[in-house]
Amino acid sequence: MADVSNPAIEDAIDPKDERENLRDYLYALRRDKITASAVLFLLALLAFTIGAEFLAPHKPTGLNLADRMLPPFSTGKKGLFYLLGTDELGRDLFTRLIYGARVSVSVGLLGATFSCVFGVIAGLTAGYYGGLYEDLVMRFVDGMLSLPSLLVALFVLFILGGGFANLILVFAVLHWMVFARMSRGLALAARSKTYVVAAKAMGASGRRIVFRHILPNVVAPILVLYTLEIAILILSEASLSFLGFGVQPPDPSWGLMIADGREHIRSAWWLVAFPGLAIFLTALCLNLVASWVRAVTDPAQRWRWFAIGSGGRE
Amino acid sequence: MPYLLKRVINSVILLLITVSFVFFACRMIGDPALNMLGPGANDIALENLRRAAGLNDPLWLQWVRYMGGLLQGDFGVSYRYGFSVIPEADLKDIGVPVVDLVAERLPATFLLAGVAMAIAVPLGLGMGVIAAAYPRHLADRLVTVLSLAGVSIVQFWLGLMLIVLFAVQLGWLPTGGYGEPAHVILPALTLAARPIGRIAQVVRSAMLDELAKPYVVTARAKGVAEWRVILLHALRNAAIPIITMIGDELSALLTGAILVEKIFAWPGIGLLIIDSLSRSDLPIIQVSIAVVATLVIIVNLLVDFAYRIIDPQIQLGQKA
Repeated sequence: MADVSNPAIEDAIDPKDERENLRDYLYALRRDKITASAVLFLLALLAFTIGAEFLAPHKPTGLNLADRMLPPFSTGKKGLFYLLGTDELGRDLFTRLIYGARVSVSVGLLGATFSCVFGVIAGLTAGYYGGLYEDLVMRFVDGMLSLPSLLVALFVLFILGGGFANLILVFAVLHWMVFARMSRGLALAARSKTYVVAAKAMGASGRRIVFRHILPNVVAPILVLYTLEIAILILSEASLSFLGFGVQPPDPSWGLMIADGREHIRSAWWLVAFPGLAIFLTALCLNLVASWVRAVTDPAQRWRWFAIGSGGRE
Repeated sequence: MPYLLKRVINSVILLLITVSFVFFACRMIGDPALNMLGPGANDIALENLRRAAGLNDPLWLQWVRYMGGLLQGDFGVSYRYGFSVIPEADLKDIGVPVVDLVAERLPATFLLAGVAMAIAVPLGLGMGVIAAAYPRHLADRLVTVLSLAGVSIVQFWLGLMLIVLFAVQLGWLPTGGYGEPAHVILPALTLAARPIGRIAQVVRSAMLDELAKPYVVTARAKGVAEWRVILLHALRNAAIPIITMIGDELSALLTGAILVEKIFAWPGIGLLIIDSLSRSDLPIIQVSIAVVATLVIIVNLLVDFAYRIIDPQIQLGQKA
């Protein structure tokens, strides 16, 4: 009956240290080509975002009216090569995409991080302490969640004005509730687990139990939600910037680039196609990574990923 | 039905808070009279409006009056609709009741949302059921990839690409507009992409859960045809998460319509919201946002009601 090759059971008998765990995950990742490519894409995106100055082939503001509106894979008058073509001012589209990534990716990352931190603190404490505090927090969360978030974001940005900082503020205020709702459920389930009861019996404070005992045990589902939320925020940023209520020019963002390109959609399709493709690929990779993380951290599923030759432990 | 009554009361309270929030926020940005008449309005017109609309009264009194008006069906008057510059005329002649504007726009949005859902629900259901019936086969993988793509795509970008392909390059369909059946195809397809993906994902995972349950084994052992097991036994029991997702997607669609209507120049309430936001036309903004919020809240309530009809065993109010 006992399936000894099942690592979930082995872990319980003989807990591994962190390094072995990481090796297992890397091994599982190598075997899953699609997720591995998604991770590589996201790493490359991050590298381009950080090192835009060194990695971009042209200058982002390099006007070159002689090379206007060139299609992808074309060479300009002075022999310069444009991978994805140029816009109406002769600027290299690929370079602008790299600089746009900086804005779009950081809005997604920062917005998701702020809402995650705030939501997890509110949700875990609500689930653990319960009572009137939980009631108030969850009623507020339910109310906010039943409003259409894109519309509320649009309205609040109309009142406050657009821009990078306001966009992140609005995302943090409108997206922490999903994290709160999920972590409250997780804390509620953890409250009666043996390890929490044991910690309580040893006299640990509420704050210590929530952040040192419960939090490390519920990181995986929160990480999945965090990854999905980055994708959702990058999509929302694009929509809001496209409508003119998000990032403001001259800051480049993928949504703004689509809005600019829309005027030339009949003659220069690439100005609209590539920024949208960049958003699509980024969101797709984030979704793929999220579902992979969900699978490998789920004790009922993970054996499939580690089954063959996992660290020579068969 | 005490639980459902409680839900309705909660929704009404939420709506009142939303409407009040929008009202006060709109009063915070600059001179409301100037926003209502637009830049370039002369002092006499502004002063007339302030006196007529009671804009000189304390804010709380204006709020009471506004809420009272809403309850009596008085949704306010827009002075900027249809004008770029305020004409030299009596305010009474240029004011358009907001309720007429909103009522005129709603059918277009309902039509668009209805067609999009009529595309998305059967397709999403079908894809999800096929994927669950043949797990790990080519069909399952294809459905997984397609639904991931549907969730990851930027809606308005998909719309623009469809315009490039079907309207500009091939010339089969109009780039935008309203009135003929051909006009609805591209915007509805654009709006349907995401719900197709989401519904297919949920149907697939709910069906996989159900198909692993003992009653399915029993049904198969009795010799029930496989299609009956899938469609009549499992799908019925998987209905709750599917209905929830369809409801969620319907309310997401109502806001997603803002962008799609903008791209296709579809004269719905979304386009009205965008246009009035860019003109700071406060009376329209206040009402159209309230209307969309109300629609979303009603959809959420209907989903709750649907639970009870599908599964009488469900104890509403007791959270799982």
